[in-house]
Amino acid sequence: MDSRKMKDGILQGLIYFSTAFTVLVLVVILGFVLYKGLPGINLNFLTRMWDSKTTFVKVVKEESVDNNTKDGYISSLGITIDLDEKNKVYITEIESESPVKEAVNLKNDSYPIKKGDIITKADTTIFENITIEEAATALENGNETMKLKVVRPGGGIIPMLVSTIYIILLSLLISAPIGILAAIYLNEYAKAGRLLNIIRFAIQNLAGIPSIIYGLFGMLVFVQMLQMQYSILAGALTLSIILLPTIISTTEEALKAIPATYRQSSLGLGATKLQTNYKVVLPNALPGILVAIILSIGRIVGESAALLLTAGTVAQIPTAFTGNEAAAATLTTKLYWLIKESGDLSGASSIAIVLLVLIIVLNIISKTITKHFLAKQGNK
Amino acid sequence: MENNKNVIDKQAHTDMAEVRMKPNRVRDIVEKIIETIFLLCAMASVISVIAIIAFVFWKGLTPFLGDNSYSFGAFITGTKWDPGNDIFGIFYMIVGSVFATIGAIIFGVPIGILTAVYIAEIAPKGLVKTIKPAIELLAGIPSVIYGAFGVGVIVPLVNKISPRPQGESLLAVICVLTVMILPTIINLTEASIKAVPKSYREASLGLGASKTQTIFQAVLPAAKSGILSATVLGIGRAIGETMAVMMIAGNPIGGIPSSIFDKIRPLTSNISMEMGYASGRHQEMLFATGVVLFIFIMVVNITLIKITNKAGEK
Amino acid sequence: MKLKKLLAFGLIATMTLAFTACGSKGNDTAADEETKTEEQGNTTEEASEDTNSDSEGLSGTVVITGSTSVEKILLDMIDEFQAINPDVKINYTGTGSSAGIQDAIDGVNSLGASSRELKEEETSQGLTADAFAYDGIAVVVHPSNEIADISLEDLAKIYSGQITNWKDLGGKDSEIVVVSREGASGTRGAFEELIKLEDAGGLSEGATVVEGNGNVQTGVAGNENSIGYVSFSFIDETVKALTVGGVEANAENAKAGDYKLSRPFLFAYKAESLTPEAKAFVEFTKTDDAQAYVEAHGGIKIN
Repeated sequence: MDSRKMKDGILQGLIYFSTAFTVLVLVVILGFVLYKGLPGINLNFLTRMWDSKTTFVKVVKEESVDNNTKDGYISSLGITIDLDEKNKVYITEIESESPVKEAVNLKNDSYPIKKGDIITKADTTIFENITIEEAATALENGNETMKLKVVRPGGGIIPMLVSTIYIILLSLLISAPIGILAAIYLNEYAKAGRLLNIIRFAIQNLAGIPSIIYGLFGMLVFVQMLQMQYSILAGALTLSIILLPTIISTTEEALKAIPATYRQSSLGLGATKLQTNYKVVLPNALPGILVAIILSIGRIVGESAALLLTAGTVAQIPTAFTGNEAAAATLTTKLYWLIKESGDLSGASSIAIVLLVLIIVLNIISKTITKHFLAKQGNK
Repeated sequence: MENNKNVIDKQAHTDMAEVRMKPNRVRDIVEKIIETIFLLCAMASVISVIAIIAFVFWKGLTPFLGDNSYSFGAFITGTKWDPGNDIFGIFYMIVGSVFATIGAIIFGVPIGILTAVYIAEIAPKGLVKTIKPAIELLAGIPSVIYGAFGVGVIVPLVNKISPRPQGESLLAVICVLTVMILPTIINLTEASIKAVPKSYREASLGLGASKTQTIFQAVLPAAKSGILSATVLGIGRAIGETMAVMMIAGNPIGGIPSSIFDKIRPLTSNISMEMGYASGRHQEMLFATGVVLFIFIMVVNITLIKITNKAGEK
Repeated sequence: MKLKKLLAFGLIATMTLAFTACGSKGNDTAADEETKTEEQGNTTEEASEDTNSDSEGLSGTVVITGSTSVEKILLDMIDEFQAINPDVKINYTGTGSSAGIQDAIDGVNSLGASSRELKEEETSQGLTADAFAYDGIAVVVHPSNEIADISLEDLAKIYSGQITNWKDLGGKDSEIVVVSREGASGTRGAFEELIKLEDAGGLSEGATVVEGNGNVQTGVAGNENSIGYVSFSFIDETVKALTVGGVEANAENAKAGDYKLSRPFLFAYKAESLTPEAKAFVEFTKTDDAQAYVEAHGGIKIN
């Protein structure tokens, strides 16, 4: 009797230990990421571009009302300047009527100067190792139409955020319709037989292929053979294949949950199979489809190996589907790039925090949908 | 159930056919077209699998065919990878990948099963509500974050206990992979435990077994096939994991690991690390590495499908 | 039923949004292109006004592929060049030196960026090499390491696995953790060539191989027994740079040729097929403004 109790005790102890271990690991990971990354998260990190951008702008000065250039105020430009910690001249304040808001670049496109921009050159004066007074005087006494070299500081994740969203939209646009229709076929049309077995076998296999293999395939076919180069389209096409199994199986689950009586009554009322699918089956499966899409978004957000080989690591907002303008780093690939190229674990952790927040939000949404859906079915 | 539905469908069709003959023909054609479109979408998966296999194998087998070919034997049994000198041996990587996967299974499967037992059988409802989202989060964390965690936490820890002077090692890889396969194992095992009928437990308890005995002697054996597929899925995930292991494995250019403190170079990290820059024969050899990885994955996949099908038949 | 409708609506809305988002993106690009051509005339005027630029009214795309070591410097230069010549678009993709040179031979890029000297078989295919900066490769160890100097011969012995303990170099009695780079890295190629690793037997199987300068730095900073090599621009307080053969790893020594672990950053191109805008960019990289970026990133200016 005692040995049995002891055995029970040991086994129970192991059970508690295992659970504690699992939870503890998560806590440690979260703790590590927060500890390293939280100091790096601020408004600039969330709102700025990644690379700093240098531009030459022309500003038509206004008549000076106050020649006092103390404290870095330049009345003819309506701005206040200061030195940052690296002794660079940056703009701390812009008046509402300031002419720098009307600034144009060399193409004569509007390029309004913003708070936080760094001025590195005014006409011919290079702003290096310069005091505020000297800089302010140079700005105040410059030409009527003044040419400034302005650096808009980077350090933010905006391009990666936008690229991630583009890739999510593109991938889903390709794979969601295919996946949903495939699920409808499998559940509503297909008859048991060889073809169905082959399709099921293929889907199960796709689900098991690691993303690095998808990456190899995408790189070979989309990037090289179809000459898309590293681009959001090549990345999205690769991802669409990765997503298919998730979308198909989740949608199928939802379709299976729809009682057969729904279909029978629709068909009995004279509706065709297509009408039944469109008007009865699909609307009832919507919550499930939505969950499939959210799961897919989660997968895209976390993907790295496949995207590194197909979409590249350039931090830019893509303006095309293929080619150099379309190369894009998502948050996750940039996270890896940061560790690889600069050894910056803290910056990487800051991005990781953004990713974790995204994933938690996605989890909560899919939970909520499932819950409501189930509750409703229960009511019936 | 399926058959039943088909019978009803057919009946509905014939009924309608009798009622209205004419519009039915047009409708039938439309229906047929739509069905074909649906079928094509369903075939997308098949086409994808075929395309992936065809292209990866074609590129990966090129260096072993034709003139000036590289010996496949030397490739598969070689223990040194030195692209600069045209030496491509991946045996030591296969060993590394297999060891890492076995290690992750040895630790991950028991921990995962026991955690699943806790969630399914023991934990109070309130606690389940905290643990389950935690596990979902664990499953959702991108692998590069696991990698960063490995670099920042696991590698320094392993370095402290290792007789070798560094922490990048088979052990570090096993630690991270164990954590990464946990969610898969826990979720599948939990589902299969929950599917065990109540009567099993009642019978066992009725025969005088303790709760713990019931779990280990009645419930878990009944959930066997679910646990088995969880394990196989875990193997697949571990052997295919790339980014996280690449950052902590050490990736030496040769040498079969002889202890858990030795560095390894998993197949996946070999591909990912050099693919971006490689060209010519070097690139083809990376695809060849992919072919070997793919064969491993296929074996895992087919095993998994066999297991699930068997379970389904029951 | 309400919720279902709501969901349906949500799904449709998302899809529509997705479509319109993509649609409008396409339109934007088209519109952009239009304004570009429209303002071509203007730009010519502006550019001639601009005393900084001797390249009047340039337009077109310059494609640069190659070395990743030059990325930081090149991106800054490109940024500034594009500011002066708004109609020139320069695309840089880091593919590794060898790939960039091969692209230049094949004529698929405008300029190939390389972080090593061209090999004979490359120059023989009609390539011109045009250096715009020099780089030093620093040998780094953990800050706590007592070793301060190392010779090229010892480096070769360490990386080939003939010396495996710091005590053989006068340090403490512990195994050396050798950190190297991935197979296709330009820095690794340059380093191995400069220390003549091939003659010493090639890279040891005991070496840790990591991807990227950043990973080397993290690896070395995190392990007191390790040794690695990175570009000068990655030297910081987390690691200690050794003197090589008694010469300190700094820009002056590298430029003077005293520091042996240095290499050029250069453009490889076929002179006869060089486009005007690519030529303008190559010339621009040698101006003081552009060279300032070389210095800013720890590289070595050409003059």
